Amino acid sequence: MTAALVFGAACGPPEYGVLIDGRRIPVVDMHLHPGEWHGVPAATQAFLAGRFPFPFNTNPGDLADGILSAEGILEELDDAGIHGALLYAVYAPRTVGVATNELVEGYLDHAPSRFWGLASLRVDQWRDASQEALDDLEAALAHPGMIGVKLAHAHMHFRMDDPAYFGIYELAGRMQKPVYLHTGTSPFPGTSRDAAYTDPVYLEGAIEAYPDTVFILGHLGFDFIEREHRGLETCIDLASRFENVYLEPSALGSPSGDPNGAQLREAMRRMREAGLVDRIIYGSDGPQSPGFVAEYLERTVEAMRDTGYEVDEIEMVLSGNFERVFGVEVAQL
Amino acid sequence: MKALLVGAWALASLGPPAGAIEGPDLGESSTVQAAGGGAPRGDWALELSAGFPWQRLRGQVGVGRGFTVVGEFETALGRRFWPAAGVGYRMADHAHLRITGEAMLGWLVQTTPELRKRGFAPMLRVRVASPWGRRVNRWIPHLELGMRPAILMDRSVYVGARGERTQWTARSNLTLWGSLGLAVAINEHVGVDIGIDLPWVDVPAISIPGFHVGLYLGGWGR
Repeated sequence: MTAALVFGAACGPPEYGVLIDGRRIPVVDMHLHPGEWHGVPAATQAFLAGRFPFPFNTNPGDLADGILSAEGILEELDDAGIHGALLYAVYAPRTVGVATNELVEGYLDHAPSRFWGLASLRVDQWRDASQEALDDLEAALAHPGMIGVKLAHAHMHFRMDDPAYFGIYELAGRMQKPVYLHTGTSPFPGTSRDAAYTDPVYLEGAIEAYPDTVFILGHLGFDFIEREHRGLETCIDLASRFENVYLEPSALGSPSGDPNGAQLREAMRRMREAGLVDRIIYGSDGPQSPGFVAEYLERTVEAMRDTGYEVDEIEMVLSGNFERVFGVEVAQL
Repeated sequence: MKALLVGAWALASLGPPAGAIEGPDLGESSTVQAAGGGAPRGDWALELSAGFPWQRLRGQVGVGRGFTVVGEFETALGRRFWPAAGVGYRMADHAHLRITGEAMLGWLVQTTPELRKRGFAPMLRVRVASPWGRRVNRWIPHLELGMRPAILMDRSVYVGARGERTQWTARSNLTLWGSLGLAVAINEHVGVDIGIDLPWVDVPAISIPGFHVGLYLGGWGR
């Protein structure tokens, strides 16, 4: 089976897509992080540096800035045979840091045929400046490459069920911009770990109240502290009951956290059993480290093949569902 | 480690004594002494090596009865430093096998702002060298294995309404070291070396293998 999988060529011009049973399937990675090392809080810098291999961890800023740059991400995509990717703005100054909407726009302008973006907003001064934050978000979403919204309640410290923030979903629905939400716990220092910030069941009220808004449940509620599925069945239940819910299995199947691929296989198997293949959108949560983007794609394709996905279903996960949900055209191969 | 030393000792016991080297006996070259550790009383050797990511300056002088005094300064990319001093003892001393154990006392400093480290870092190390060749033991494949625990001291400064409070806490980590090289003695006093370094720095973090080239000097005035 592995022999049937051929990824992007290692040398020469990149050959995009995944070749499965003689059919080349385009791939979009809907979860990549651009950024700058100095935008990351010191505690998280130390956390990340500790995960870099020696001796690169003796100068983590240079490594991070290189791989997080537009050129660095394009290089990782080329190595993986991935043509297009979705880049996330982040406003979580106390946990994972800040990658502004303007920074993401710079990436989009750098490679408009390969990058799309998700805009985000500050919520740490919500009581006094919510309207200003929403106005800024709306302005960012006016950029033609900004096709959705990124939120991470655990990183941004606001409850999933707090109606004070539902204006974000209203705006996203009105502008027809899907909302990506980090669900599950996070390994980063300073993140909220209580259920109201991590358990996707707390999103049900918003999902029900805003049927015109697409909710993409990132990481499937995975518990990154205990390294186990915690919210998978909740995500599947929500996607089964609400047509505006989609699922994204990034990061939980990383080589370090899921060495034998069991967690990722379990997620892919359960989603297919529930008849939700048309709701799954592929993402990696890269670039993380050199080669991670390519390896995560390989592991995901293997997990799908191991759990009985047909080639048509694999194509839906890797690019078809993304194209339909975000209303963009993925470059044909 | 103990099993390794016992095995090496048994192997060394099978070989001819050091005086039975082939060809004219020009004495043990400084390259053999530097690569394999250990030296007769008064003999000295210096090692200068550079590579990725390690650079090292190391000196030793024999003090008799198989013992040497060793001084060493090591850095990785100018961001991690380990000055150390210690003693070595040649445990096997035969024509084609030299084994030396070394015990070092050192201090680890890493200046990376995100991962600062400083603390006491002793090291236990064994050097194995196997000199070959008709004159001055020209070819010397050698192996170095070591373990370096570190007790790292962290200083936390708490700033409160009543002023600052400083607290020192300790944590530990471990670095395992492996290095494989081939030294070539150009003459009795000068040699060169090339090798690969296989460290496991701050276990269980991942480490990338490295390489080095080295210059050995010494033996003048003995």
